[in-house]
Amino acid sequence: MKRREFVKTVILTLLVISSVILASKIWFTEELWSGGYNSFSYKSAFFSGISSWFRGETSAKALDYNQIFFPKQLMLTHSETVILLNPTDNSYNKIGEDIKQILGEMFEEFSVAEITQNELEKACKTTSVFVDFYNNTSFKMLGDYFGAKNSGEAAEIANIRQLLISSEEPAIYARNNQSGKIYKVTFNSDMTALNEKIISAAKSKGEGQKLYSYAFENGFDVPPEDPDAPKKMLLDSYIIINISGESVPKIETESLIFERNADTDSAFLEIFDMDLNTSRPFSETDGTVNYIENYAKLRINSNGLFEYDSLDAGKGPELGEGLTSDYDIIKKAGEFLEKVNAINTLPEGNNYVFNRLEKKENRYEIYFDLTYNGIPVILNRASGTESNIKITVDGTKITSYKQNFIACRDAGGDFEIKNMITALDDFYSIYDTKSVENVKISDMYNTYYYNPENKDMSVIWVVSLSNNEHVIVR
Amino acid sequence: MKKVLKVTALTLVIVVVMSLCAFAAPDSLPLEVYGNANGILTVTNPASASISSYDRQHNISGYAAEGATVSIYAAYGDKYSAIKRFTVGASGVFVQPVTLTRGRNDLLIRADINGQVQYVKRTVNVLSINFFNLLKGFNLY
Repeated sequence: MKRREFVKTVILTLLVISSVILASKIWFTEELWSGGYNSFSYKSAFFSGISSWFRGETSAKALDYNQIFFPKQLMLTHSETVILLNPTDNSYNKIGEDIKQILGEMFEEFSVAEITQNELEKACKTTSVFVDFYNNTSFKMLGDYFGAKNSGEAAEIANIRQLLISSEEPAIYARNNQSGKIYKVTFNSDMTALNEKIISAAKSKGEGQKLYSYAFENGFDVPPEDPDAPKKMLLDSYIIINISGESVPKIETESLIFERNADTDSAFLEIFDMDLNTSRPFSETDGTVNYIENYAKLRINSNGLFEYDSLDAGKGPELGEGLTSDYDIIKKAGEFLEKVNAINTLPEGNNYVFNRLEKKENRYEIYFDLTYNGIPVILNRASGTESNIKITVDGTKITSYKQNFIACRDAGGDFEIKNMITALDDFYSIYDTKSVENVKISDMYNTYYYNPENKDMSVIWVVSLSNNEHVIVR
Repeated sequence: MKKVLKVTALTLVIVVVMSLCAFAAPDSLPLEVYGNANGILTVTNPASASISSYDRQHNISGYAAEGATVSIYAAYGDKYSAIKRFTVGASGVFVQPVTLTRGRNDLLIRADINGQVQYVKRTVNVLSINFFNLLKGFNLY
């Protein structure tokens, strides 16, 4: 009798536990009200926070300053000496740290004045560092990174691709590429450390040929006065003309998901709010694996391409609440990216950097590039060039995530980079400059260029035009 | 018949050699030179006929017709001597670094293509450091 009572108690206890588990699953994941609303799901972050604390998980890793504000080069000027630093140079990171510190101090208190181009050109000749980014950024975004409350005061300093930091006086110069307005931002900061580093670098270089100069110094930013002169495409005033012949290490790629197994797949699925037990997997002959759920699809291609797509705009992993600024979205997307990439650790020398944010109403597309030793690796696709990672956010949900899970390593030897003038010649050979009017060359830079189809790696010049075209020069 | 062949071959050689001499940019030129074309050479840096700079390292930049041979000469005594020679590509853009001497530097830039020749003269005064201190506010480009 006693034994029978015990069995009944055990069965009842199991039934109660299972009903609680199943009910909680419905409460926190299903649409309980019309329109897909579920008030319990808003609390799920709280519960998952507690559970992750018990599991010993740390919070998502945030992107570093250099991953968001990533200069392709720094040009140091002191007296007659000009030095160009690439991310591969030792001094690049040291000067970068000083710049970060100065920017942080600037946002404590600053004043803004609009100046003329002539004043900026004179400032370029002072002891200074010219910070040349790949893409546009803004003072608002920089201010948000540093947690500045006053970054809104400099809201008009947007669409900036370069900063000139004068170490002779605490001043930063920036130009809005859309309005053409130029601003001088003055503030209080000790510029001694930066000044000393620039002077020291200049002294160690000594006298030599002038290999680096601004386009405006060469007169390539204004139409020639000679009426008989042939019409040429003008260059942005602040493109750095680099006439030195350079080389970069030859590299090759390796797949990061070749050691895929049920554990890694399960980890991926969990990040994307999918479940290994409930999703329907099917494999293709080439080794590609698909996981399909009612509202989501995850595809791990054998060539390393990883694709997640939500089949409903209202579904997908939550990026986070309170996404009020561009920086918030980039930061959260970066944290998500770090979470995905924690499953396959990037080898040394590889990194991810923010490329750009595109906004379309309530949709955001955030692009990140893979870099190897500081040089971006752009993907060559049949549809055009691509960044390595593209995250699409609808509202606050991640509805699409695409990444080519590759990493780079040295292959021995060097890729010779074409001289910039030779690259311009090649650009004129492949692009009909006469077919476009009032279009300027807004930027020119090198990247690694990888074709996932034939695994071919090369170094290219990218010629960016003011009409948002990007022309690849091989 | 042999004589005719010899004379023809000799004439051909003379014509070829002479045409090469005529088209190739000479290594030195007199101080007064005149071109026979316009619109095949634009020098954008230095932008004006005469500039002052404190920098001995200078870039000579501009545009020339695609395929043109551009030569840069510097005046030494009573003649110009070639210091750089290069062929311009499809963009027509050129940037050539030159090392100048302190003081007055008279430069001559020559572009030639298909027998068309254009000259542009530029003078760069490279100031001494003392001069630089005196003229710190001077517009240098």
